[in-house]
Amino acid sequence: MASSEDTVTGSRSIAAGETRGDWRDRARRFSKSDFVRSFPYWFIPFSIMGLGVYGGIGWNTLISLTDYEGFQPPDFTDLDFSMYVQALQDPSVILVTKNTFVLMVAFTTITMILGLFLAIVLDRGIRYREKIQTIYLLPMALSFVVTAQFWLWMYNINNGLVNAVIGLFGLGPYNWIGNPDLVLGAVVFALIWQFSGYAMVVFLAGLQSLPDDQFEAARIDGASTFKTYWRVIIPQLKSSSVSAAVILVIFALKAFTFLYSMFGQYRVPRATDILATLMVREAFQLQNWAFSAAIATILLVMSLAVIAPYLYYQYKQGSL
Amino acid sequence: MPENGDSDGDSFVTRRKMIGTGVAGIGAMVAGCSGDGGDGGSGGDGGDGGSGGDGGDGGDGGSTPTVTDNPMEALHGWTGGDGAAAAEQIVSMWEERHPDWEHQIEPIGGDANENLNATVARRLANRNPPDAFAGWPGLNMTQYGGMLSDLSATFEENDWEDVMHPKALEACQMNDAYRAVPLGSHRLNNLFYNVSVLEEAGVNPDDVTDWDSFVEARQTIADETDYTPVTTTTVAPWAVLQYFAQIMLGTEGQDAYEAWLNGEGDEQALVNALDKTQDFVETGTNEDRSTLSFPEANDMIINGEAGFFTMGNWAAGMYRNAEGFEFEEDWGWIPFPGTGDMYVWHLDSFMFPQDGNAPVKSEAFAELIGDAELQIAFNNLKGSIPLRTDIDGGELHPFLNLNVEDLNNLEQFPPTLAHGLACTPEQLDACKGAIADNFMGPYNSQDAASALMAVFE
Repeated sequence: MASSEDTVTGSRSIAAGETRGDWRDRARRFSKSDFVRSFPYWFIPFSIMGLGVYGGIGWNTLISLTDYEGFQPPDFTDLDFSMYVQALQDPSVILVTKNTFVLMVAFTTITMILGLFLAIVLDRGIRYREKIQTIYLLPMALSFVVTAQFWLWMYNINNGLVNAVIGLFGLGPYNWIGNPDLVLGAVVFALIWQFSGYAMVVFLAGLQSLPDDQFEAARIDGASTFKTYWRVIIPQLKSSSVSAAVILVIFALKAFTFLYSMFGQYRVPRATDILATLMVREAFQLQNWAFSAAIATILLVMSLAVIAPYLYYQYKQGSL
Repeated sequence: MPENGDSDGDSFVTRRKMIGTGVAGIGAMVAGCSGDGGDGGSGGDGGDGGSGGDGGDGGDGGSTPTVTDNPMEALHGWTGGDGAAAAEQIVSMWEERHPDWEHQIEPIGGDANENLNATVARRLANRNPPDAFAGWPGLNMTQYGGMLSDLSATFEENDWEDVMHPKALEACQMNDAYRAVPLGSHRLNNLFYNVSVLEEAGVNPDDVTDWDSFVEARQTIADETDYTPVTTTTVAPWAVLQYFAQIMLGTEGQDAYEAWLNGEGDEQALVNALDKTQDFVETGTNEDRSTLSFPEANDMIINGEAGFFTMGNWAAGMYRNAEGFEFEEDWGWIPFPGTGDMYVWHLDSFMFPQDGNAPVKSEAFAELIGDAELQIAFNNLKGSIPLRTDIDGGELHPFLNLNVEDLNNLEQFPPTLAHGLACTPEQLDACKGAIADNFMGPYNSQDAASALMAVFE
């Protein structure tokens, strides 16, 4: 502090020409700074991303405060939260919020547990490791349009593979899609099948970055394999689980594509109706733009609410 | 690198400062975006303006519009098989008649116009409408109220009032003017059958005239053969809604059906019809109905695995495309039991938004759609029925001709519910919701009936 004050008083006493020189010098140094020189490289992608993502969120929120419906332009003079009040009182919104929550939590949790299990199994150096890894990862590369259609065939009550397999154990056949108690589970199962390979790869990368001596040290100390993983290895996979969880929650929200491909309609069976399908129906079938924008905001807040405590915890732990 | 050189003093930017700048930038962008009316969502489509020289672009304006350089853009939803071939007829006839006029006659795929309607809604809301789009007139059209061109002059010039079916003329009017050009009609109350399955079971299709004889015929097929008596699809609520509408019409009659649509329905009539619908869906049908789309269900008729199938007559397009599956030899048609004196009415049309980019060309397109030659070519391929009454029956496929005669001679025309003629989009959505919530397993006729009653009250 003291030295900078000295400089200021010092420069005041010096002639005007030298001040300009100082200013030029600063400008020159500024133009050579990392900030300016890197500007073209980060500003363009940053602004495109900013406009697309945060601009979209902002615009959506603004629309949700109006009473915009039909084809006449929205009126921005009268902004209020009436759409949110209406949404929170609407029984169908509450039902689909429940479905969305169940889908998101069940899908994310089970996929991560399964992915972790698979990753540990592969990390034990089993035979044909690479091939198994590829096989598990492949479903991730398939489009929802493809997987939805073939899961519809798999769940066919007469000749579907799922009923054929559980039939070997004397169970079923179950009407997976037609029965409202089973259909959400069937959809979640199909999504887990598609994304557990992804979770596996993320965890596997995390596991392989850990040095071998930790296993050796644990063994010397007499820890069992289970204890080694539970106490030593898994706690070190935090950053892997953060990235896996974030991506999986996003995919859970994208289940719209899967449901739409499966049923060919925005109106899906009631037990699988989620906020995303309701939002599309309200917007593009009924032109209730403001109402569907409010649903979109609820969806955003919900996904943030699910992921935020976890992110905060990880931040506190220093894994973020 | 960090420890090297000029990272000291004012050129050093901390990560925190970067984030601060970024947040400010986002704020500015959000503000900018909301300021300009935020048409970011419309990116990708349209963009065909800017070629200038546009005359009056309002069809209602009264001033004579001039020909613009803009291509004529028409959207429709006919992508699959016979629909695509039929739409190709529109393209080729347009190119033949107006070789110098560029066009974008494009399909937007999806079941039951769903994606098409969504695209049209988005473009209308973004003030970037196509010049024409296919859609259902009638009450469905009311959602576009105030957006559509007045086509009355075109109707008058072409004398369409004299040559179009009066029911079609009625359905195409809104706010005292013609707002849609009728293109073709599908009939909804059909019961298709596989000839050999019925023969093997000893069922004479001509005896299936009402609900009781249908139940009996169904039972006979189940008893006498290993075939599935009726093939159904319940993957989406529209199909169940359609079954219910046919059964309601067949057992309770048109008056009860229309009374309900007018908000004066008898709830007990609905409950009765719903009970029968449950019976129709669950008794003697394919168990995998909840995973089959309607073409897959229809395949069971073509493959000779099932006796009966009910669907709009677009299903007949699949029979024509199937090798060695001929009308009257392999498949047959009867009206849905109890609806022999009705033609359950569906209508495809084109509508023309007011502020399209190519007003003169879109008028020419309207004339093309109403043209007799086009209606014959299009409908023969699409499996629907032309709405001009001056078409010689010999030019149509015999199955279509059978329906044309009914269209011209029958007197009862209940409008279809599942395809938007009888209800607004809100009501249709509420009906589908009532079915999806109460009547897709477990089946609760009482709750479904009260929910369906509430839609039109």
